[in-house]
Amino acid sequence: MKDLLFFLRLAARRRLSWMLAGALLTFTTLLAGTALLTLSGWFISAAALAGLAGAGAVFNFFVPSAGVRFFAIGRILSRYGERLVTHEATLRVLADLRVWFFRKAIPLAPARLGGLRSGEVVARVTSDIEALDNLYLRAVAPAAAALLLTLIAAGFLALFEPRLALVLLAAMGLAGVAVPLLIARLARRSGKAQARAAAELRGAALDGLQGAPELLAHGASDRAASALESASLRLSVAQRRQASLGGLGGALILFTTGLALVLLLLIAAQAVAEGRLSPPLLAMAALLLLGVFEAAGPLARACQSLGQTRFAARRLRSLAETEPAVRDCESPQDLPPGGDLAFERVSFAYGPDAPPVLHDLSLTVTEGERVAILGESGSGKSTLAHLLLRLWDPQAGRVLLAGTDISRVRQAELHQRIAFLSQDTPIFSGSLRENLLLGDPEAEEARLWEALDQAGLADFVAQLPEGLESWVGETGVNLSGGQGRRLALARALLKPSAILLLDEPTQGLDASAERAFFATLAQAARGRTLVLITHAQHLEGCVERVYRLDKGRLQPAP
Amino acid sequence: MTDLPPPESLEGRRLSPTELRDPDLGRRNGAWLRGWARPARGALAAAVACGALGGLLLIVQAFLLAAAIHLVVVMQRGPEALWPLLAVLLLVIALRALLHWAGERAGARAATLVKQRLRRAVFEAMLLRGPGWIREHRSGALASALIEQIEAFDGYFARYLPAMALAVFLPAAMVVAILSREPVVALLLLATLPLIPLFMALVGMGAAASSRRQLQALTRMGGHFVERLRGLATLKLYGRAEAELEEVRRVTDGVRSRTLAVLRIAFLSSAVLEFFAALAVAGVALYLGLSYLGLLTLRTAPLSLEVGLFCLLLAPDVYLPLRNLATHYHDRASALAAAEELRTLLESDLPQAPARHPTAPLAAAQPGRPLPQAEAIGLSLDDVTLRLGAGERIALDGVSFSVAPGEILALAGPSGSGKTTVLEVILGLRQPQQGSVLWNGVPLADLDPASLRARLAYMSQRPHLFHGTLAQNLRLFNPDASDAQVEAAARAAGVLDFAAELPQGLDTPLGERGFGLSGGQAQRLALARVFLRQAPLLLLDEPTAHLDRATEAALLERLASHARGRTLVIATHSPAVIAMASRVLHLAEGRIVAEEQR
Repeated sequence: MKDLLFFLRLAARRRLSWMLAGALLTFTTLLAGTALLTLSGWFISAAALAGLAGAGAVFNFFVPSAGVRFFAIGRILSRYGERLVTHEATLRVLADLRVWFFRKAIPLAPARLGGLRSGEVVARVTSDIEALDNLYLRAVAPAAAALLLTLIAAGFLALFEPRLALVLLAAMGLAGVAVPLLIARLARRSGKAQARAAAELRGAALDGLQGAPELLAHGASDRAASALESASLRLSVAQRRQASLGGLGGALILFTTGLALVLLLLIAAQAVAEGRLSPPLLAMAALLLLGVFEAAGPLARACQSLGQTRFAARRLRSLAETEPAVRDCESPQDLPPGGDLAFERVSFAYGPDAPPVLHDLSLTVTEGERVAILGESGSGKSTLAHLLLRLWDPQAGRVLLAGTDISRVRQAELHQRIAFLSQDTPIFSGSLRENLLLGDPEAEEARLWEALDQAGLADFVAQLPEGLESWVGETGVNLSGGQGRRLALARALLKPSAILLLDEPTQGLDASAERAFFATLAQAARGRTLVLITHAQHLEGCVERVYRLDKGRLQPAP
Repeated sequence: MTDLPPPESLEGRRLSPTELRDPDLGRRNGAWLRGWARPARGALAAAVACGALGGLLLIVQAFLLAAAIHLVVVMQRGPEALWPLLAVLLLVIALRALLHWAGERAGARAATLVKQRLRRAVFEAMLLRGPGWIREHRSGALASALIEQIEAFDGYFARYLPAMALAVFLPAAMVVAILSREPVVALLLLATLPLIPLFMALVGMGAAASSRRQLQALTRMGGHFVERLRGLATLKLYGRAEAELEEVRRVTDGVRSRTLAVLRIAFLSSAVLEFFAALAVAGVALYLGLSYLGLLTLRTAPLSLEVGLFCLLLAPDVYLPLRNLATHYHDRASALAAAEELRTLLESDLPQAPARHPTAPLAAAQPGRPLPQAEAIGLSLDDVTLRLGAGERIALDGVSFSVAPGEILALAGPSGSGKTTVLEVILGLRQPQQGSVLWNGVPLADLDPASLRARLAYMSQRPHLFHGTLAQNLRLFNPDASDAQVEAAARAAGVLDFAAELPQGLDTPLGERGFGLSGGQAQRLALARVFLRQAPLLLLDEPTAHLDRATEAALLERLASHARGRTLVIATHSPAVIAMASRVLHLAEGRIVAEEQR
């Protein structure tokens, strides 16, 4: 509950007026509907009695019939407004939530977002945010409106017979509060099971699809299909239970309505018999009750998904409030200019229980030097790059840049100093130019082409009809894996940083392209410090020193 | 009971309130969707029956309530007289509550039954299209189709289809009930009912014209947030993260204003429904009131309060099934959109040899001849040409070569030159448009898939790892291998080198999609599987791509000794692998450009 309130406060901070307006319109819609029923009930009962008494001619029907028309039209207009305003509010809250999370995520990336392969975490985050944006539309606005309507209706009933008001309050308390809470509690477990089953299903689907060549070749695809089916079955079971609980909530509310209606009629009949209540008011009260209970229906449906929403809220909040792996220190120093770098007796593991990756590692590279670090995959080469960028902090030892401990300088300044190509650098939807300008927003046309040329992509881009303006990414030209890699490489080369840190730059390139790239890399690095992480072989003339990283220890290669 | 605004999904295509993008969407996909409802017929019928019974009980409820009120107001009876009526009323409402619950359960059952069947069928259809097709469509997107697209059918089967059946039956039943007691009111309702679908359609058409373009823009913007969040580390390292915040807000704001433009029109159609419902209720109330007062005399006998109240109570409920249908109409829209995507995904790319079961992908026809039981296997490709997609790009262009039994053949060439495709053609995972593939002189298409499969071991470029322990992953293609065999294979492929350091050894579970293993470790695991197979034909795709030179050399030595007497075809970049081959074919742009005997 705390987590839901947290997000409500977050939403209300900027969008309170939209939210209030939406809830108010939800309320006026309900009110007009209830008033229409109530007034009609009273009107025809009173008219019937007047007709029977032969007083039909003197009955003032103008006011009630005008009221009936007023409420009917009012309800339609209010309803239209309600839907527009609540959706406007929801969409604004959604935008806020996204921006809020994005801001929170900046210091967390990549260490706390599932490392550099953040796909899974991101998929979860987006679905959590979507679950939350319905919180207001489906739960808060209807609940607030229902509460207000109940109070007003009870007050109105109390004018005629206080006991009727009590019946209404008690019943709405049951239907609007107790039942939703009960259902939310019951749905907690199946909500979790549903989330788990959905994740398993995605895993099974990806397993099967990515493994398709081998599975098909060995005739094992049945296995993948039945794994998918059993995950799908588990999801179905959880979903059915969720739906059943939602149905149960609706049924309980309906039954509460019945109980309240019977009780109200008995009390009102008693009051009529005792002459304390005029008979048409009995019909009015009965219809009023039915009108007010219209407001309880949405609450039943909201409570069924409340468990999931709360789950989403908790996950999102705890992720956003995770302590970042690294923080800028209290009073950061300015980073002096230069491209010297050094590791001093650095030891590192990704977590307290994780196996150690680097042991007591030392390395010094002076400005303008070019070194390569070779090593088996899994030997900690990429970790070395992550520590230099201070994406993680080492448990022992320190990393120096331009003679300064990097934990004492601002991360932004540190990142500016290093042009990094990671193993899976993404290409963003947008033009080729936009993707390149990420490296250097001020780069001129010639510089862009030079970088493309160094990365071996210039010929390809030159033959595209739209050249640098070609749209790439999900909705644009599909780059092959190798081409995407070259684009990312060009982007890294463009970044005007003193240090060039390339993690497997030739991955996905064939041998001749690789050779061509290394042949020109020294020239492309042009006086910058180059740290090249690779397992490529032909580095002659490209680097000045070669190290080998083996089981977390660094040795000069022969 | 309620007309909660539909929880419109706020992004992209799922939003489309009607067939905005394409008016024929419903015609094309409606039948396809209903075809899938077959296995859930029983559950759907139960859902409809519950809804129908509940609706009929609503008529009884109105009758009882009106009678009770009549008893007090007109007959001036005390509360004692109400007891029997109210007892029955409570019973009726309790029954309605139970029916509501049962109906929800039946609807959910129907939906999950359909989704389960659909999911398996679509998954098999995806596998049937083979690895090339899966790569082209990206496995991540396909997994989403399997999950989200199919989830989009939930509301359609659970709620929309039952609501549709009830939207005709219940209003009719209620009008008949009213007709039997007060024909004028029934006529009043009958006059408005047919107008509703008419006006809703008119509004819907207007919406279609105005928002087709909006939706396209929405789809483009929809993925923005996800993409930027995924690339956040990169943006941060380039010092662009803070600047992207503004971009995220700008794009989301764009989504908002465009979405609202669509919604403003979409909500009009439900406003039309509300308008007629309200008009009818107000009309009924006025008619009844005026009749009681004697100001309007359309009937011969005087109207009793009981009848009037009955009509007034039931009048709004006449529109309730229609309102329900409108509420769930967006379920239909999202189901149609999802159906369209799935159908285009699956129907546009029918493989050249259809009607094969996906679990038997090796040959076009089955059962075929068993593979002759020779000691070793020889292969030959004759003028094989394979085009991708709609025939634009040529993957293989007249490739012919043969592999003698016991030979080690390396396929070399730049990435994209067709090495992987050659292996997949040999395996029958892709059907060439032209040319033939022979195993021991017999065309692949004539051979019995099971007999082929038993005699090959294949390692793809991205070895398949799944949720499970290292040992379970090793046993994937040899479920019956003994512990000793598994361990021997693991040792030979160097898996034990890293597994020994893990606390649980070979019983260590692999995380999400084998997360936790590096590329090189995954390759060694896959190689261990190959060793475990003991098959006469080995087809390996870049088996040492992620290994350093020392590990590679050690592994190749063991591979060479394993390959003795077996036929081995390896696609590779690595000079060390090429050095161990007895013959090398160099490929470029789908052709063999050079052959090298060693």
